[in-house]
Amino acid sequence: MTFFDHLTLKNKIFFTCLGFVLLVSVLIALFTRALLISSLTSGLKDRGVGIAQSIADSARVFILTENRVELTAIAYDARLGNRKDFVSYLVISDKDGQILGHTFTTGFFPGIRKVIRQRNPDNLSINTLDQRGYSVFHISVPVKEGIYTIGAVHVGLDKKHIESLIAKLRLIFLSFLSVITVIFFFLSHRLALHITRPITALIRYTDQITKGDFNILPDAVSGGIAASGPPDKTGPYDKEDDIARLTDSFIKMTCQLKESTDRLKESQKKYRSLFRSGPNPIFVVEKTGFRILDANPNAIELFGYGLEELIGMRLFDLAKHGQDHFSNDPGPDQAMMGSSKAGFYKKDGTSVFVNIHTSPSTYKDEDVILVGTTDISELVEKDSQLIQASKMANLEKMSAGIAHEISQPLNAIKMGSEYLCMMQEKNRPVNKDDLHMVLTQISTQVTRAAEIVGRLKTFSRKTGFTSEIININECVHAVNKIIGRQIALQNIALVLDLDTCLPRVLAHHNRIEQVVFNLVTNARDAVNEKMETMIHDQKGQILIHTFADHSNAVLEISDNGTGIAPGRMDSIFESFYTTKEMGEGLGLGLPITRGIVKDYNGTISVKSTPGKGTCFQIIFPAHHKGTEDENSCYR
Amino acid sequence: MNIFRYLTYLLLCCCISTCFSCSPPPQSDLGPDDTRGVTADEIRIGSSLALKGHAGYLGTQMLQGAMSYILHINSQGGIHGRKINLTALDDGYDPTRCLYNTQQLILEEQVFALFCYVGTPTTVRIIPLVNEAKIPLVGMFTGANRLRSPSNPFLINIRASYYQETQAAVDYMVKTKGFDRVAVFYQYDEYGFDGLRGTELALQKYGLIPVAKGSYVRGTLDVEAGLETIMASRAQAVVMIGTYDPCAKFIILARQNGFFPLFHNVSFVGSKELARRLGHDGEGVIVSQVVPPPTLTPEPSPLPGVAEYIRLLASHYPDTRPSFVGLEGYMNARILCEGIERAGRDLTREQFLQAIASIDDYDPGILNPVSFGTREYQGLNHVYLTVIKDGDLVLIK
Repeated sequence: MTFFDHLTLKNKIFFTCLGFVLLVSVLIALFTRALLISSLTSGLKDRGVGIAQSIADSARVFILTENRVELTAIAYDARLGNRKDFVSYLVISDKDGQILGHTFTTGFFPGIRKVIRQRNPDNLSINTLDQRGYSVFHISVPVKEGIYTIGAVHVGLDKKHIESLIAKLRLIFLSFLSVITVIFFFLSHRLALHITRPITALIRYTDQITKGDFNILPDAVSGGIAASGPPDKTGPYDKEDDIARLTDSFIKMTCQLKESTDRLKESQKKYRSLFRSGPNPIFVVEKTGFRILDANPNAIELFGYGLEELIGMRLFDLAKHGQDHFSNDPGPDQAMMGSSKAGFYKKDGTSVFVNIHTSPSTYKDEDVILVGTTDISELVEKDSQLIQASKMANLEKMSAGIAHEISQPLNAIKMGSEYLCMMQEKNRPVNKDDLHMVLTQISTQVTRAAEIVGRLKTFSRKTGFTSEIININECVHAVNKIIGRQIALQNIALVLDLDTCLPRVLAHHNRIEQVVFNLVTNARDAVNEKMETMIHDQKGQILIHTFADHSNAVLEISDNGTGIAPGRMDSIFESFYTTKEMGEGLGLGLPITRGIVKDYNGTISVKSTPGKGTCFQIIFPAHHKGTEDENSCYR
Repeated sequence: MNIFRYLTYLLLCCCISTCFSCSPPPQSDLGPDDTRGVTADEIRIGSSLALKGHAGYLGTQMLQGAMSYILHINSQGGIHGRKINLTALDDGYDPTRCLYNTQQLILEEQVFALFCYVGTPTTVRIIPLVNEAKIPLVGMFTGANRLRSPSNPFLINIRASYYQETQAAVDYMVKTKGFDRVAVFYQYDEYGFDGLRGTELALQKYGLIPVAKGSYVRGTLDVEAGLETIMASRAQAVVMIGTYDPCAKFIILARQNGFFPLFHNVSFVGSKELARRLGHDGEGVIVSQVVPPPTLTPEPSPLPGVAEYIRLLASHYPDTRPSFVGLEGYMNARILCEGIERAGRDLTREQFLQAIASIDDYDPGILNPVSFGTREYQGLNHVYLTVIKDGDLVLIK
């Protein structure tokens, strides 16, 4: 019954109760009517029979004498008084059914003559006659003279007497039902209100709380809820019924809710102040798209943009290399993840290096990522300076080799120019071919010297921390040019196995050269040590191997030197840890190498067998950006 | 709207349930358009009255008085083209027979109206029939109070009541004659009781009560017991409510016993017959009348109604002498015809009753205007006191 479902609770109660009461009343009415009709009818019939019998007694003598006048008078007399109400007619007939006297003043009841003629006068009978909707009980009583029937008395009992009583009864019942309905309307109204008013009040208060308005007093709540009930001297809290309990629970819940909300607001305030005055720049960015939603004053200060400018920008619009080194999925267990030495640009274009720490959070009902950026520009600067220092130390190592390298071309130039001077002094003409040969030789050697100088210059240059797309093979070649000859002179084979299709990486040429240089010099030292101290059956070898591994570029530098003892494996990357003697090395090479590798999101690992050799493996992620074909190979 | 649909269902259920419990009322074929007894050229009237027996004079006289006027009207073409057909049945002043006759008149003869009934017990007996059949009854030779109060629209009384007659008698006795000892001799039935009551009410106004009451049984001449009682009371006047035979015997016996009070009879006694039976004993006996004397006296000037009655009676019933009763019957016929006349051609019982009710201050020629007001259904109100002088009834001035 969908109609029923759509009613309010109050109306449901009302209609249910009303329907029930009406049903019961109607049933009672019908039952009573049935009972009444049957008892009234039998009563009426009894009276009719009684009347007929008394008339029979007084009519007897006149029937014998066929005195119609007297019989008519008797018949009319029988209808005197209140009998007129229910005696419709009276007929006295003889034994043949001929009417001798009757009370039909205006006209005979249709068919009555036939009925009387056909009736057997010997027996008492009661029948129902219906004529034009007018119903009577026809009672026939025999008039006996001794055992002989001499006639009959017929009484017609009008049912309308009963029917008028029934109508009156019906009217009483209907008015009774109406009164009941009206009373019940009010009763159920009150009853329903007693239930629904507290509910309505509760709904109202709950809505209020949902909107965040906790400004409802417990007294008002209980007063409002309990206002619909009957006034109670003991007060609303003392009532035991469910409404009171509901009120109490609601009030408790409201207080609890209010406390929680207050606490939440407090903590929000706390974190708000942390956000505002935190020492590090913090960005609130969207989880997808990394659009900046908010930034704290430090971030504004660091990056030089105004807050309105920042909001709406994508975080990585500020970065040098966009989103490349930053992956979004922290994994299910990690609350934070970071990225180090990410390069960002300030508004004025100056670059700044930050460490990024992220953690997911909710900000104004959205899932966001809090991005903390720590300014490490100074650190990066120091790093560069350290690398430079290390480079300088290396340079010292290289000086002998460089001197040797440069002296060769210089010697060649000296020889050539001395020859020309000698020829000039002797006043001998120089052979054209000889002259050409000497001059080209001089030019070539100058070029070579210049190359060496240039390489030196390049190597020693202090570079900032930048990234560019490079090919590791080039670095290897460059280092080979610098130090290759020197190593060869020390009777160590420097083998290059370079993959021509090595993927490009995002790093820095100079710094990767640094890395290769450090590792190669370490390898040379290790091999030299082995040659001097150990029995060896092989020639010393340093192998530089580059290859692609999935989407990474791999650089392996292995030697067959002394190797590293397992206990020392952990310490080799420590700063100032060296196995060389005092003055021979700073012990910064590997730490710096590792630093550089990490800077460019690479990994470095080492495998070593003491006495057999060591293999350093560096893996850089391939850089896929750019329009160049990533598979283009470089020799 | 679902609420309306629900309410409609509820209402429907209520209607159905009430329908099942209702039954249509019985039909009645009696209505304002009832034209029973009226045909295109005839109006049937019925009468049950004493034509034979100890009250036969009253009925006969009345009938002849009425018929003389009716025959006169019929001879002139009737009323609105219809002639009046009067059926008269004899009931011998027996209420039971009157009842039977009336049933036959209404049921079998299908008369339009009843007319000229005689006697109190008889007329009273048929009141239920009149009410059931809703048939007008015009002109009853009885002054019974029961026919007048409570007022019944079907009972059209024309003559003054017994209360009025006894009032007039008592007034004459007490005021004019200065008597204070008044006795009552009455027929032991409704008629007598009515007269007794009237006398008592009249005496009450003077602070008196009847000094003696004597009665006789209707249809008998057993007046001795009553006479004894009244004689013993030494009454100065006797109000008598009875018929001519027993009353005459009473007066004769009284005089024989040396008892000479003032005797008064009500009009129902049948004054002519009373006078005839009394002979010279009737001298000084007062009879109250409701119509003027049916004689053409030179002074005052002859009443036109009386003159007409005498003339028409002579023409139709030459062997009958004019009488008070006859004049009453004539008056009844005059009123009946006036009512039919006023009802118009579309004659129904309803129309007729309305026509009668419209009769106001109508003088049928006896200086006694007829008014059928709404309070007392009675036409004439005047009571005439007559006294027997030389065997004739003479008006007391």
